[in-house]
Amino acid sequence: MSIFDALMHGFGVAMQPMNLLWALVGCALGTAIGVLPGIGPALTITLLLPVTVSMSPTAAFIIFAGVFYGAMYGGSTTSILINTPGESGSMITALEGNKMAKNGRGAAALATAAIGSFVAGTIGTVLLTVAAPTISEIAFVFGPAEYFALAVLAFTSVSVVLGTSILRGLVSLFFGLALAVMGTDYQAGLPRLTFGVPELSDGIGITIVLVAMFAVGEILFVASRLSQDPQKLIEVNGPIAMSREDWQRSWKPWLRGAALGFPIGVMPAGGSEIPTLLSYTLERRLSKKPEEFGHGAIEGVAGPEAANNAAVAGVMVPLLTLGLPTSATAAVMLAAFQNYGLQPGPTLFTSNPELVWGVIASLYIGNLMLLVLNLPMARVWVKLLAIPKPHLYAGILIFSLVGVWGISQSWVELLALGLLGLVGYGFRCCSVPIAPALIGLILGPMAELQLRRALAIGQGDPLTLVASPIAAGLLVVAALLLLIPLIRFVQTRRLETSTLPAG
Amino acid sequence: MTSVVKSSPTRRPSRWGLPAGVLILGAVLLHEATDLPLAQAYAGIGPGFFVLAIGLILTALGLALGYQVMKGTTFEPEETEGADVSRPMSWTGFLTAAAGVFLPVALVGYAGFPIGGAVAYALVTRAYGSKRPLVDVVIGFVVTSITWFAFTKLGVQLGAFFPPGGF
Repeated sequence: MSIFDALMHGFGVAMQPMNLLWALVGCALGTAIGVLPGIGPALTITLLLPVTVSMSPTAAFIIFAGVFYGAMYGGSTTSILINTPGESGSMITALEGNKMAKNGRGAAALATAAIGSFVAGTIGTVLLTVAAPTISEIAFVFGPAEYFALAVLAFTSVSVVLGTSILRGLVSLFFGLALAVMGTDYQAGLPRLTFGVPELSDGIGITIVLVAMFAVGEILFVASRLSQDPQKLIEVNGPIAMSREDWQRSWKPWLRGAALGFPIGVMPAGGSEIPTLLSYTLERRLSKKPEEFGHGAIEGVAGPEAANNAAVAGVMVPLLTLGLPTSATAAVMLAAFQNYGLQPGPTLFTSNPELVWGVIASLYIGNLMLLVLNLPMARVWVKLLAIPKPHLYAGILIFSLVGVWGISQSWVELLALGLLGLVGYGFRCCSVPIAPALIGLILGPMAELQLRRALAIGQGDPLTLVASPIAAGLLVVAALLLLIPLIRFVQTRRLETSTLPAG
Repeated sequence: MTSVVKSSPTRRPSRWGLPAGVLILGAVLLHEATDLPLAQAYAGIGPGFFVLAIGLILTALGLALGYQVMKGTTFEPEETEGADVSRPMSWTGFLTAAAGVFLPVALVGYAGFPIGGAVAYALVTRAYGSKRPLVDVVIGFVVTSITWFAFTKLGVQLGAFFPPGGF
């Protein structure tokens, strides 16, 4: 079956009325949580998990994908109108977008963000359609050693890339790995780190950790440092549209943003922060009017917005083809696959083509829906911000309690939710990134399993881990990611000391 | 950027908490690893191997963080939407919200999800500056009751509506 046939088959699945409805639900929900503070796509998908267990996996993943894409659209609206990025990928948009809104060009900023997101999201999805089956073919040669090396690469890259300090990124990663080894060891049947608590014998639920770190940690942190400044929402008058000049200045940044966002999204530890930042820097350098940057340059909105949506499509590639999550949201989606007893990877394309291609096709449809939901209706979504803060955060706690209490009605799990929430609070107080902990928690068991398998195949010889060129190459890249910042650090140190005047 | 900022003598945000926490976690893992077999026949490594490795690395990370703190690094809080990180921490806000998180641990089991949730709801609104606790409890009860009915309908088990009443 060619890619085109497979995709058409996927459209057949995605165009079923119920699946269209689910795509709409996902897109609307995603836009809403993108606009709202305190709740992001990873947390939303986690809280949806107990609700979606009774649905077919295809319907569930159509919703999840809609949430993932929709959050990016919603995040840009608040970045532009009130200078509060709802999502980390929209941080850069706030720089220029909010300035544009203050200068009375909010409508053009919203338009270039929404249309750019659509253009880049669609380009990204086309690239995903072409790249995913090809990469999944390559992945068939992957054995335990390669999968272990891949996990190590994901570990090091998320720790190095996300957050402000490598040391704290690693702390987060190993905290997640420590949680991952909790529970009964599957090979020897021995309890590990269960401290005699029977509820821990199955390990700690991913839902609990996620809800605790993202929702509870955030509720506690914001409550302890509540901002007293009222948010200033900038009114936008007139239709949300762009002038001819805006189009001329926007289309190239859209394409360049997509070209940056997709490949970086595909890479381990891609995420959407780095491509948006790179796109912003690039547009600033290429602009004919660099002096406008910092005062509301439309290129500075168009490029990064395109980049973050293309990156989302990119993140889906390693997730679907290798089962490798490269962002917090992708990690939750991997956990959702595992809930259904599905293992994303090369075999998923042959064993569940309905699911994979249905979801990919729904990404095209979802992008179009999001354009319609966001371009004329941006003002409607902003109304969500009228929900008073106290009730918004209290509501988030209620949904968190549903997410955990709904699993097994156990007070031990509610206690774990609170305690891990305190850890999440501590992470925020010290700027320790949370995503590496999730990747560690979710990929940890896979890494351990594959390491044991690889060593069992090699009869305990550690050299089997680097016997294949792919595994060795991945491990070398992982090592370089850790070593390069270290070498740079030592070099700058040396420079500083050598340039200091003697005495 | 919130990374390496030299500490000023007047303001001292959390400094030793992070390295201490990481060292304690590392120690717990190392202690657990002593009870687990490191090697296993055929498999090469046993269940203790990962625990030991993670424990050792966490200990090393804790020491490195401690060294950073000695050199004067402080760990600044993360910029978060709705929070003003330049303000000093409010213990009242934190403890009220924490009460909202921890009270349901006991309350939801005995009084049911709607009532336990309503109390948590009111505590969080209080922590976020609402001054009408009774109104908030009522709103909270409405929210949790609707949530209870909706999720029970969707097939999520949230226990009895009001266990002492038996329904």
